[in-house]
Parts: sequence; C-alpha cells; structure tokens
Amino acid sequence: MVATSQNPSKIRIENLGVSYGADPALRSLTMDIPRNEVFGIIGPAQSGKTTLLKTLNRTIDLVPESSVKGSVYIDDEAVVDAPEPVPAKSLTRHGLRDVCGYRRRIGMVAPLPVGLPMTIYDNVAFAPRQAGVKERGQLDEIVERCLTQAALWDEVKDRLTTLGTKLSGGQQQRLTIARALSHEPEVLCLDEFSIAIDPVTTMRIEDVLRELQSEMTIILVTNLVQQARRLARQTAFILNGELVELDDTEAIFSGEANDPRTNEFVSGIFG
Amino acid sequence: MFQETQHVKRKKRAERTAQGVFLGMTLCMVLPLIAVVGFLIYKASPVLSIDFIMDAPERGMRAGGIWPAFWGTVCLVFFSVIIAAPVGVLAAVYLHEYAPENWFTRMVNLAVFNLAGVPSIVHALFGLGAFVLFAGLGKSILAASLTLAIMTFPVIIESTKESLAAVPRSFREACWNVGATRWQTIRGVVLPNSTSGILTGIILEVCRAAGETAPIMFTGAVFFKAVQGGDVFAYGPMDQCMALSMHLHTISTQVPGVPEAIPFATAVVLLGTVLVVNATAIVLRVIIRTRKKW
Amino acid sequence: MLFGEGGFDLIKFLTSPEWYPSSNSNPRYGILALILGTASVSCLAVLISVPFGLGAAIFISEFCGPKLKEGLKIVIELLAAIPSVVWGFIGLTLMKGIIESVFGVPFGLTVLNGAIILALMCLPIIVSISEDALRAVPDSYREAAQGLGATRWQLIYRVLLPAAKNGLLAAVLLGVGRAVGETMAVLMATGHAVNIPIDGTPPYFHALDSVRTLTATIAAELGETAQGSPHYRVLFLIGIFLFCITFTINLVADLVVRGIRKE
Repeated sequence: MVATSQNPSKIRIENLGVSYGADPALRSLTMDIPRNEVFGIIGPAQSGKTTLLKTLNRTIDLVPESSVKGSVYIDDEAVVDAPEPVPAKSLTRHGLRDVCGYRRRIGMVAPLPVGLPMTIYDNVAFAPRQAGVKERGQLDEIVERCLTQAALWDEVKDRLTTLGTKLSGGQQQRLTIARALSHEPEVLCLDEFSIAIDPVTTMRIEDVLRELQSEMTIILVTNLVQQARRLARQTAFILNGELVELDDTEAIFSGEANDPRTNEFVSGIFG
Repeated sequence: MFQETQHVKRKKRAERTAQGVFLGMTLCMVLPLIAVVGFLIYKASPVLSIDFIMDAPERGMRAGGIWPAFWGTVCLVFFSVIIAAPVGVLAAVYLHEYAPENWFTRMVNLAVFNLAGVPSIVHALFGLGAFVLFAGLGKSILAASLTLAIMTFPVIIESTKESLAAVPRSFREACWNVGATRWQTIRGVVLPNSTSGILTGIILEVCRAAGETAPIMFTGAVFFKAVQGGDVFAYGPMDQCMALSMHLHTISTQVPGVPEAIPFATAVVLLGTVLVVNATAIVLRVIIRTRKKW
Repeated sequence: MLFGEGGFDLIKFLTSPEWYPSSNSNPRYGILALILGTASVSCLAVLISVPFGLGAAIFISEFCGPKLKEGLKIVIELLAAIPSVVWGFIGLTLMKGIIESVFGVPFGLTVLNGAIILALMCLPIIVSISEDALRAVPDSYREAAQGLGATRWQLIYRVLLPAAKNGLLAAVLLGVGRAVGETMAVLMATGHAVNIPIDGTPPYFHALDSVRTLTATIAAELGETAQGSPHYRVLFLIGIFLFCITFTINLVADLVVRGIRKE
C-alpha cells in the first residue's frame, strides 16, 4: 500500500485530453476527487465518462489508436504525465511503469456483469494468484472476505465450485465487485453498475458501497438521480468530454445549478 | 370455405417444384459420397483385413499388404504435426492477441491467407528447392514433413485465430482490470477456453496432410522400400519412406498386373482412416459446442 | 536457349502449343496446350459444380430444419476430406468405366472425366461459402418479402441471390482457384496427352479428348528430369506461373469476401 499523503484529494486530474484517432473523447479535463467518500459522475452517453475511468486504471494503454495528454496524480504520484499528446500504448514512458501492479490499486466494475468462465473460488482468487499469493489458507481467507464484503458469500458459500458464468446477472455483478476487492484497491470505480441488474441487488450493492467508503475512494458513474443522491456527496457533470460543473450533489440536481447545461440535462433525466 | 384460386395453386406448385429441384441438387452432393465409399469397399472386399495393413508387400506389390506405406504416412504426419502445430498456434496467438494494427501485421495476415490457397504441386516444388536442395536435407522424411508442415500451418493459424476470437472480449477486459498481464490473461482464460477448437483444427489439418501426394512425391516418398511387416522402427527422420497416398498412385498407374482388389483396398485404408478421424473431430466439435461454459 | 535460339522468349513460352521437352535435337517448351488443358478442365468443372453447389446451398440455407442442416454440413465436410489421390483413383476406375459405356469412347480418361471429379471436389467449398453468404443476408429482407406475399422461390430469386451476390461470386472464385491448383486428381483422370481440346471441327470443344494440365505436367515430369537442366527449370517456371494465377484468384476472392464481412 502506498503511503497516503495529507492532501484531501485522492486523485488530481489536470488538463486531461484523450482521443481515439482523430475523435476527442476527453478535452482538457481538470478535476479533484476527494478521498474516502463516494464521488458521483453523471453525463449523457458518449460524453467520455468510461474513457476517464479507463485512463484512471491505465487500460487506455490497451485501446488501439488512442492518444493521451495531460496529467493524473494519485496521492501526488504521477499516473499519467504527458505535456504533449502521446499514443496511449507508450504511456509507460510518460507515467507509471508497473502498469499491472498499479491496476491492482484501482478496482473496476463494468456496466455488464462478467463472471469469468472458472469456479467462483477461482474468480475471486484470480487476482491474488497473479500477484503471487499461492498459499491455500491465504486464498481461502481472501475469497471469503471479498465475497462477504460484496454481499454474495451467504448465497454461494456451499457451491464455490460452480462456474462463475452460471450465476444470475445480479450475482455476477457482485462477483465482479468481489473480484475488484480481492486485490485491496485504494480506489473503486463503478461504471453504471446497476443498468443490467435488478433493484434488490442494486440496493444491496449500494449498502456495500456505503460501508466501503471509509476504507477507499469510490467513483460512481451513474445516471440514476436517486442513486447519486443516496450515495455521493459531490457530483461532477461531464458533457462532450468537458467538465461542465462539479458541486454538492444536492446543488447539481436542484434545478438551480450554476451552469444552464446542467439544469437542462438534469431535467431531461427527470423526464 | 376458402377455395384456392388457380393463381394460388400455381404458386404452390412452383414452390414445391423449387423445393424438389434444390433437394435434388443437394442429393447430388450426398449420393456421390455414399457411392464412392460403397464402390471402393465393394471392390476392395476380397483383400481387406487387418493383415492387409500389417503385412509387407510381396511380388512387386502384386500381393501382400501395405504396412510400409501405412507406417510411412503415420511417420510423415507425426513429424509434420510436431513442427506445424506449435508454430501455428503460437503465431496465431501473437497475431490475434498481441500484434498491433499496422502494415506489417496486415502483410503477415495476407501472406498466411494466400499460403493457404497455394496449389499442392507448388508446395512440392518449394519443398524440393528449399529443403531437399538448399538446406541439404536430401530426399527424407524430414524434408517431406517440413513441406507438409508449410502446407498445413496457414490453416492451423486461421482456425486457431477463430477459436481465440470466439472467447468474448469482456473476459479479457475483466482480467486486465484486475491487473493481469496479457500473457496471464491468455494463459488463464483465453487458451483454456479455446483449446478444444484449436485441437479440432489441428486434427482436421493433419487428416489433409495424410492424404496429400504431390508435396511428398519429390521430397521424401519413394516407390518402394524393403520393410518388414509390422516393423515400427522401419524409418528414421533422414530415411525415405513409402506413403499410402503415393502408394495408391503408383500401384494404380505404374505397376502392371496388380490384382484389382489391392489398389481398391489401399484406397479404402487411406480414405477410411481420413474419414474416421475427420468424423471423430467433427463429432467432438459438436459435443463441445453443446457443453459451452457461457 | 529455350527454342533452339539464344535467350528466353516469354511470349513463345506462353503461346506455343509445342511441348516437346525431352526431344534431344530440338526441345521446345511451349505451354499453350497445357494452359488450355487446365482451363478446359477447370471451366467445365466450375460450370458443373456452381449450379449444383448453389442449389445445395439454397436448400441448406432456406429449406432445411436445424438437424438436417447439421447433418448436411457434416456430409459436406466429409466430402471435402476425401484425399485428391482417392478422387483421381475414382476417375481412373469408376468414372472411366461410366464414360466409356455412356459415350462409347474407347478411352475414358478425358476432359469430362477430370471435370466431373473436380466438380465433386469443388462442391464443398462452393456450398459452404455460398451458404455463409446467404446466411449473411439479414432476416429483415426475408420478412419483408414474406410480408408482400412472395413464395420462397420468388424470395430466393428476387431478393436473396442479388443481396448475396458478392459472397456467391467469392465462392465461385475460390472454387476456380481450387480447380486450377488441383494436381493428383487431374493427373490420374485426364489422361496424359498433350493436346488442345478445342479446334475447328464440331462440337468445337472436345470434352472427350485426353488432355494434360499444368499441374499434372509438373507432377509427371519432375521425377524424370535431370536436376538443373533446362527442362527442370521450365517445370519450376510453370510452378511460378501457377502460383501467380492462384495468388491472383485468391486475392480477388479475399477482397470480395472482405466486402461482405464489412456489411
């Protein structure tokens, strides 16, 4: 674990620009994300939210034809530091080098649930094993802890040898969270995690997030107003790759935000 | 009561005719397969037996069995698989999982695609020039197997790439998100879930190699070699060998006075082996597809 | 060097019908007869196999239930698995007898024999690629036609075939490529005569003549030629020529197939 700095911001983003070929996905984004709380991000489709998360966990390196400019700091350590645009695949020369070790500091939950085609046990043990944990007792403990934290342990503790792909959507999404927790991340990113799962599971996961925020920074990309209001203290509105407004969640959704575009978008969600 | 008009009746008749015509055309595909296999077995029946495979030929191939040719084919196929399969699979893994999208990758993919369409006699010429003459291997099992390997490995690459592509991208992304390297992802998730498809592809290509004549004719297969029946140590890698495909060609075109049943029986052994292995691979593929993990 | 005079004349190589490579006094290396042999057998084979292959593909794609479809696809794969030397053997024995009795010719190893055998060998490729092309036509086309009250035949003839024509063209091209490159089957089934089967007397295209193809020539003569001799080099040259032809056909077919995958 990296020593935490005294800075109240866990993540500092400065003038971040990301393009896919000639199409810009993020334009000169500057934002501070506070530590140990849930931070909301809202915005329409194709506004760059997923690109932002991919840049945070450096999987943008694996997207062909992408280029990155700007800086991202976690705890004042440079993750991306590129004053001029560089191709994303060469970011190891303009940011952190040990990308795979770094990715284990960030947990990522994608919109569609993914159970890997292996046993539930192996799903959760996958990341620790790749990181070098081999002892059975240690792995057992990690699997139980993460599945419990993800509110899935009681349902699967007697069938840990079931294939991960055979679980229901809600169970697979909790399995993904367990997988994300298995490498003890400092930051947990959730990208519209509830769009493909039922409301009951969504509520259970929201309870989990409320408990986890004391241990880690949580970035919640969502377009569910009530979800953002329930969980996030601050929310950022991103449109066309730009940060339009960042404020307390209540202010963003009040209909009287500082930027008219925010009000327009928010009223659209209300329908 | 709804009466059919003349127009509707005519349409229905045209429909049935069309269906019948197309069914007939399809039967023209099915019937020759049955006719060929049946005709060969019928004409080969006087000499077909296990002894036919295990015995050596006698009296200038006019009697006896085909062991040296059978074992020669086995040796050739064995050597060509152990060369082509690892190279082909690894090349496919590189091309599908690692290769960046640039002009070099496009050229390689184009080259592989075209190599798959080269006529077998051109492979034979290449094998002759490159392995027998230039590399100094002389006519040998090794040279012939290398020629067969060059012939089969583009198709192994294509079918391996297909099996790799059948594994959804979401699995790979989930692995990268937890900090696995590309190789850890391939070894942990992608390869274990594409092994069956890869193996099926290799088996099918191996069958094709077993039946080929031209590529081995000038690179290592010979008309006759004195070998004891049932001898499994008959051939070393630098020896020349007999082969089933070449044997069939020779005794049906170049040896006068061979009793009719012998070439037919040779054809049955060759065709039978190829069809049985093919059918097994196809059935395996169907079974695996029904037991999918996702 | 190649025609008694100094220097190699490419035009004469390609257009002269005089192939006498083993003559001691005046060796001549014109491959026109061989080119026409390949062309006649391949064209006839494709002419036979395309209608049947297309018909079978249409049957499999439009008229078949799933179990029958699976079974027919297995039949196609098994047909494709038959080695070319076995096909040549069939041409030498079964087909030769059939042609001799049906047409009353004394020697059944002819263009027709080779063409029928080749047609059977090309069928699997034509059927599977055509079936892929028909399957790629979106179901919305079929639903629209059925909504207008079309019969299945009208649907096929007016909607599916035009929509799939790129893929069907690719199937034909790949079949041609296969036919042109085939060696053993034509070596055994077409006889050994260096002969042009087209001349001024009716029926103009003598499908019951024996011919020899480019591929068969290499296979038949390479074993007996001295290494490094002019004859030897010419055989390699024929190999290069064959490679260029099949390379071009495959390249065009690939571009056409790439065109359908993009849609």
